[in-house]
Amino acid sequence: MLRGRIEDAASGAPVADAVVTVTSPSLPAEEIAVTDTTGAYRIQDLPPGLYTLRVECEAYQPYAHEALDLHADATIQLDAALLPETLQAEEIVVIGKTPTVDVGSSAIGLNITSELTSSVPVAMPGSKGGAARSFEAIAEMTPGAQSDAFGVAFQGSSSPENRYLLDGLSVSNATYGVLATPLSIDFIKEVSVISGGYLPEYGRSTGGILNAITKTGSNEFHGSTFFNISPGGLEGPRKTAFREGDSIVTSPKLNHIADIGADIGGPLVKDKLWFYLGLDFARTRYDVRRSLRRQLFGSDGMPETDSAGNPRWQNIPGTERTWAAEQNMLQAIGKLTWAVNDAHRLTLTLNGVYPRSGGNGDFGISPLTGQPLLGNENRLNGTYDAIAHRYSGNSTNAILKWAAELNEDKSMFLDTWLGWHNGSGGRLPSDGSAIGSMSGLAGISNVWWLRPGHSITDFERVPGGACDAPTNNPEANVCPVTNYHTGGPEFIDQQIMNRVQARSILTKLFEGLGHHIFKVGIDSEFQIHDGKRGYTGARDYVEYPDFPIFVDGRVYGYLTGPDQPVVLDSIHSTTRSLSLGAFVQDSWNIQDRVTLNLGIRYDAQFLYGPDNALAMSLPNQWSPRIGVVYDPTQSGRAKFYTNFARYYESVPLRMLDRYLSGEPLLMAARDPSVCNPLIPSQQQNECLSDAAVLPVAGYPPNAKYDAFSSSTSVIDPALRPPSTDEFVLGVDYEIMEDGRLGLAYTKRWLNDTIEDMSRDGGSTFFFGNPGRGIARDFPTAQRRYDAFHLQFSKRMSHGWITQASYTLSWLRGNYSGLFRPEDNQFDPHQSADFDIKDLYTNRMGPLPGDRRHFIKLFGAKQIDLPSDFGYLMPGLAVRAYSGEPTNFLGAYGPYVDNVYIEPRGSGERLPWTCSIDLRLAYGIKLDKDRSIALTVDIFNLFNFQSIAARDERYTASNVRAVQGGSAADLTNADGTPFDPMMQRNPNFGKATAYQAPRIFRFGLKGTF
Amino acid sequence: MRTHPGKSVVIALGLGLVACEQPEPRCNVAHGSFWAKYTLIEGDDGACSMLTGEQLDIQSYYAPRSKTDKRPDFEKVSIAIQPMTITAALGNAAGMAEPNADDKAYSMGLITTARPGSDGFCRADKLSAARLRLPAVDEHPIDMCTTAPAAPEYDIKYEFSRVRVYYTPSAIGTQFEADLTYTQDDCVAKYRVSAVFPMVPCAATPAVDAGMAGAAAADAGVAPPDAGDMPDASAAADGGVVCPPPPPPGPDPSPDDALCENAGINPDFALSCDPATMMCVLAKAAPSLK
Repeated sequence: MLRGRIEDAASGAPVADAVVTVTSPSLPAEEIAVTDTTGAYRIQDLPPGLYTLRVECEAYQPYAHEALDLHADATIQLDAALLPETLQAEEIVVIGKTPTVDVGSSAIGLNITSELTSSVPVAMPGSKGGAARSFEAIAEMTPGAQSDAFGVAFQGSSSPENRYLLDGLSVSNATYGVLATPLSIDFIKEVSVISGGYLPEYGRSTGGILNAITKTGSNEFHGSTFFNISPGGLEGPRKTAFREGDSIVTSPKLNHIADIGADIGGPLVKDKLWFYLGLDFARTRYDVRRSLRRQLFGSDGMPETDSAGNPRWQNIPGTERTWAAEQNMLQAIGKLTWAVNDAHRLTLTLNGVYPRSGGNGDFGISPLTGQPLLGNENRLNGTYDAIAHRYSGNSTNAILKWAAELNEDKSMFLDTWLGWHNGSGGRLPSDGSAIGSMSGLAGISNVWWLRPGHSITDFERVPGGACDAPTNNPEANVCPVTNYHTGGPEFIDQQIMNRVQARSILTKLFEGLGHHIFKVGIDSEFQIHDGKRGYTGARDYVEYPDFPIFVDGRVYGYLTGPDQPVVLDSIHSTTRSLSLGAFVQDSWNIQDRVTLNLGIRYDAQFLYGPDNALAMSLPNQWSPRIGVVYDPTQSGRAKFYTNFARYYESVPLRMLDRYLSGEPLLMAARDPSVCNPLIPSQQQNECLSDAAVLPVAGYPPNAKYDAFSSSTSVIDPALRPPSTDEFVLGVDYEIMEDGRLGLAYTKRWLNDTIEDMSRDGGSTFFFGNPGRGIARDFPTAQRRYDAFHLQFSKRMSHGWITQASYTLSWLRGNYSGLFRPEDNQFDPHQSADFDIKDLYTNRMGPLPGDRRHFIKLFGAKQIDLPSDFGYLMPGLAVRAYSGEPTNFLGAYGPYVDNVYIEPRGSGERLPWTCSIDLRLAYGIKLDKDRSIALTVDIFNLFNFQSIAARDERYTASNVRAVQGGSAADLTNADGTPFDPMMQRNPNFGKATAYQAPRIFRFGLKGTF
Repeated sequence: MRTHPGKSVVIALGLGLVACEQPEPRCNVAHGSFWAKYTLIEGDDGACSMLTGEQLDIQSYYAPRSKTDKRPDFEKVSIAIQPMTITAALGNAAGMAEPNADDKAYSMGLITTARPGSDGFCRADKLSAARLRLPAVDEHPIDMCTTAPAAPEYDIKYEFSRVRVYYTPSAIGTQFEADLTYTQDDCVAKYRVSAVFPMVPCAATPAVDAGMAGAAAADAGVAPPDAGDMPDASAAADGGVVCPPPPPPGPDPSPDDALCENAGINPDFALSCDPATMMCVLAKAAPSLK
């Protein structure tokens, strides 16, 4: 919004009835406002862009302000003093000098303009959405924001808690809450990242709001073609994370990441109908080199060691093989804007993102994380059929927006959005065979070999007897492997999601002890989720580490009586979610000095299981929001602000699809003398015979089978929807022309979350709020975030642009959010965090996102070359983050990595990660409208290889957490002493991943 | 599967506007080892009238929706109860004697209420009989350290009926009451059964006894050993034999109600320590709530 006051330059008196006109390439037609008796004007609903403002009034000289820079979701105050005609002066023309302080808002965050993203190195290739340079990938520029496994997280929350809006409507993945439509920044005009302090018009998020606004056609034809490539040959050397005690060595290496695309916009009917079209094709390809190595034994038959005491290994020639992990992604956007008349405008946007990856001998790249998926532990520790999958993550959106001015004096507006989202996702076997089918890989069970002492020769042919034991130590295992997988690809699933959305906001500008912008709105969405899932071969077999048996790791099924199993090949459920919401808010500006933002939002979400039965009700989500902004300059150059807000989450449907629909599981133990699941033909025959099933897994009256997670769930009648409160206090000051400095303190704390909990050791679960209601004897879910953000923003003027921030933050608690970063368990509201009381000890402490320091610096300088040789623009990005905490983790039954042996965060913190990125752009204008830009981005220029993750698994054995002691005092769950020599993970504390290496990106973009 | 968004919106709107309360749970029972207190209602002075309480192992089962639709019908639930006396006797006789092949070690019946009633109870009125007919077994070694005691011939029958499982969101089937007709040879007695999950011992001077070991195991969510007579896997697997000394005799324990609090049983339950068995039991008739 643009607002301001027009006064007489001579007398200082307000000028009424002055006509204020704004025009812009971003605006198909000009917008006009007339000043009121106090000289005030306001113009609402302006898309981001560069504007020219003209003021005309009888008896005054005309006034013009050019290159006025407006951003999404911001209120800018621009005052003007008109010269009386009697002074006989010329028209006043002011260029640039847009006030930088958003005086209407108590929100914090960052407006990321295409001007900034085209100047500095952003959206690193290889990150999520990096190939197509998605708008999400640039949100990490926001102060304090950090990438997590599934996106960018704000203010201590997890990325799936964000609200992802594209042209005003949600483009989240219904199953998980992550961004489903990672559209390229080439199609985006501006991304408004609101990380806190948002008004009631934004809701259904306990994270941040990512509001991306796509480009629009105007009366002139404009377009571009672009090509970007990151060649693998220029990738910096990668450090390889070796695993002790394992022969398999994998090292992924970039082959290339590239995209090619074009966009064009212009008039179909001048001043009436405009179009915008864009298309992008992106490819990411990694080469994953896998080789085998053998442990060296000395002449005495004992393992050779290096000077540090580590075992020595030697590569086995002839075992090298290079696999590919590839993703191809098509993106498209089409937009029609129709000015029906002066008061009504309709916009129809169609866009979609269509990734394909995996299968036909290739490994896949996750649509959720953007990372190659190379099996359990991500290191090709299995056969291709057992660990490779096909992935999809399609997303199509249709958005219709109707913007209406309801009266002639432009004081009442109605904006209405209608939208439809269709998405699909999931993972299938690499041969494409169908879930629930018993043909192809879908019919073959996965086998997980966990017994210590396996040699790679148990599963693979190794040339030349390289793994033969030395003659003087025939028992030696020269080529050990751990956690190997054979058979089919285990868990497979597919989701189809449809969502219809309707949102409408009525805005009324009125006077009453100041200026008011009053908004009232409704916001509703209805989602249908069709989920199918299963285990290949209807079960997976896990070789038990301690006894010579195979157990059914996962089988969908139930018992009809003692030891009378019914196995389900797959589970298919159709579920629904309805969200209804409304809000009212007022932004009350008193004498351009104080703005009061007051409002409240109501939301309700209802989840329906199969057969349309209500499965969970989340009503009464009352979100009060109150903010005060004080501008001591009265001219939009500074502000003090504070804000309190309550936010409610939009619950992703994974919980509904799985547990609330009923996901019964069976378990049995099988005799390896009868059943060898390495041989596929035995899996469905000998292994399923009565003779194979040992009478050990069941509890009386069962002997052979255990049934658990059987029923659909029980819900606390007093269940409270998940919510977070936030307090913000800050100051912004325009310290230089086009540059502002800000300091903000943010505090966020979790009020409630929903989790599944069990009182009978995991047999039956209920959903509730940990620490409240019927779960008041369970630990309270906590997540507390405190941060100070210091921020400097300087928009492009005088040839340079800067965005810099430093954040000092703390994140503590026992609940990370919608996924569990320690093992990336992604079951929103159904994590293992509160499942059983045996896991509760030591869980409170610094959470995985707890980084004390964030330093972010982005800047660019334009250097015009003489004699029309164009310009050079060097850009720089520096990111330096202090390290995350790590843990001592152990196992308890099926809960691997869920026992905090020492208090959370007791492990050695990860080191700082620092990346210095450069961009050099050379641009030349071919004529008035056509130009070419060549860019080179170098990410991680110095190829820093900090440890990005450590192995936090202290042991895979069943252990009890140590209270008031250290891991040295550890005992097994059965009370026996813990044997560190045999039971401690030799890789504990060692690096499992390093920082992404240096990577180049060359870009060529032609615009007209 | 094809769905029609428009139709679904209408259905959901219709449901949604009136459904601010959570759905009622479906009837079921917690799986695991309960401690049951037996109160004699009717019986003479015979051996069958001497029961005070024991461990009952409980499971529930589903029927398929139909012959062609194998998915479970979560509203057709059966409950099965297996008394530890039978489990232990069978374990003791394993490999030595065979029970009568017509007998079932468990009592089982359909829970006839799909949802709990207004009083919070799910009901299973008729259950099949659990019966054990087993020849006498001599004392015999199990491993180098453990000996199974001699056991008499068994002919016992448990007929549970009128099972009333308290099933609410705050207590998911972790206490129940039932009627029991117990027959031992020709002696018949009737009891009131009151059972709670999990098993928690409450002897104030704790000694290492079977009840405690069983309760600790149940508390950990693993199968309880049956009266200490099962082979010790770790000792048996070990080869080298170092038999643990028998526990020293301790002072007589006394019941302590305080030991029933914060010990894993639902904190809403009114509990007391049963002096006869030194186990936590429901203090009142179900629902035994504070």
